[in-house]
Amino acid sequence: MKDVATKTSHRSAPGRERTRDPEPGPRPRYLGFGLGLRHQHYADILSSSPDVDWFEAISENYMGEGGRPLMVLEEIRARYPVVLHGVSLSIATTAPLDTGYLARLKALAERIEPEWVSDHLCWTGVHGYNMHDLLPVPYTREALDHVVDRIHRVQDFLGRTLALENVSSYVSARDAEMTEWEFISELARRTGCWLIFDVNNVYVSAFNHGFEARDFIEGVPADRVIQFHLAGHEHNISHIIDTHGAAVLDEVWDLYEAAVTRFGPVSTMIERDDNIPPLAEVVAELDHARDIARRILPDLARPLRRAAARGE
Amino acid sequence: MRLADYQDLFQRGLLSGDARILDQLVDSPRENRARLFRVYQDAYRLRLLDVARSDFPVTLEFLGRAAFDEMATAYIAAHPSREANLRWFARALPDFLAATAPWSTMTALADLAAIERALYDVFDAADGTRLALADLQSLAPEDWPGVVFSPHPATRRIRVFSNARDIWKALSSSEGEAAAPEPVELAETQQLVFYRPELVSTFRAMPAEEAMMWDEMCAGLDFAGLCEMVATFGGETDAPLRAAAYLQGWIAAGMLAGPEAEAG
Repeated sequence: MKDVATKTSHRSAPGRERTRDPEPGPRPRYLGFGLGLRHQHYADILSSSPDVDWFEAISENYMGEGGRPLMVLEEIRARYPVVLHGVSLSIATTAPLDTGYLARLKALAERIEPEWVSDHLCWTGVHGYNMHDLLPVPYTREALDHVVDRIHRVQDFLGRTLALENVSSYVSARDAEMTEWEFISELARRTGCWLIFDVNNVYVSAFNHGFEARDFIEGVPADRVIQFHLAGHEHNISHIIDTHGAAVLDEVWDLYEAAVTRFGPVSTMIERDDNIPPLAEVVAELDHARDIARRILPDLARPLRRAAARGE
Repeated sequence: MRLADYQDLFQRGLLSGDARILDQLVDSPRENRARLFRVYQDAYRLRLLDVARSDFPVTLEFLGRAAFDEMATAYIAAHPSREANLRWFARALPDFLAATAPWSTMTALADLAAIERALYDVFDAADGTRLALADLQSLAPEDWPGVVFSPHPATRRIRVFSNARDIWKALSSSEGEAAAPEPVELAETQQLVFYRPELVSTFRAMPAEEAMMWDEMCAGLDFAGLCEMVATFGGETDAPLRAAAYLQGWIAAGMLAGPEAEAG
């Protein structure tokens, strides 16, 4: 395993940074316990208004020509707070910024008025191709400068502060000069961006790369984390494949406890991307997250959904 | 290594199995880097394979799983995705099948895929107003010759060279188990039109004359021109009546764009 500590000792060489003063907006409010919005649940959500505090919608699913999905999202937005979560921003790619994509994302955000807009710290392709995956960034100073610059430009374009999520990864770059959490912390410091802490992804990456998940929790700035993701994965003995297609596992719940202890009240949600179970099943899983959080933070205020929705 | 070079090599590793990226990676405590990189390679291939399978379920049924996967793997290699949205990834599959041996030699295969693509396109097409008979009532008789109609966005026209329509019907029947007919070449190409009267896509065969008039309408010919084409195609007698009857059928099925949709 590479010796990260020696490689990171001189990482903040003064004068190298192209940092400009970030102008972050105020910290978004705490939303409580939410779910990833999936089309399999549209009808149930609209007919039963389940006991869920907020929803996270996949931006790209609503960036088309209109039609039914967008109508459903607007209907749900009228009842619940919504955040927009993208998978195609490709913030770390060395390909030119996709202004067409950004314009569509901006239009969607203006229409939906989400609590915040997020994507992943990753790249999806170069040379005009799309690998349809959240590919890992080598944690080098050059990559850091590059991503910082891109975040500034995207935030300027969208006119809002972005939130970025850590991805599950399977390979480490030979030339890495810092840990993932050091990279993420620097990003947040230099751009003012918010962070989504995906508990499952930290668990998966920690196992795959052999680092301590709790070092990651301790290593990121607590005041930048505004959202937790919880999900399941697939264990393959020598490595873990993240599917986001199973129930949350005990080890991930343990890590969630540690995260709540360190980060405090952070908007939490269950993100299921595959093998979508009935709505009641994920709502029950969400209740489990609520119970854990309440045990650690007994006075955890529960936002009232009706008051929290648009038009309060 | 510079980030741009790293990303270039990483992507080559996914697209073509180029192993040079492995020099840039390290083994994990439990696993070697080649095996770890293969997680990305497998994910890339399986994700695109899944898209092809779910976009072309009847073609999959027709070929069988193993043969379909072999075909789709060749398609993935020939058509790396350039789309942000996976919805468009497998769109060129019918053209690939029509142009690439051995699949191009298999009767009905490319036709079947073309039918599935047209149904999907029509299902996904933008909504838009539909022309109603009432919209035409305000037309003065002298205006009719110059009227230009246009197709509703949720319509598609294809021609097939085989009995793919019957095969599609048998394989997609909800009863299942319906034996598909043997694929055969047709003596004459069959004209099909796809549309979406309600929320469900559907299609039917079009007689050659009607298909010709539809295509000319799509090309922007006015009603007088359409009547002339119909007269040339099927005979002078009753030509305007035949043209009007086709038009009426299209309006009744919601296949023509309404006045607002024509603007711009």
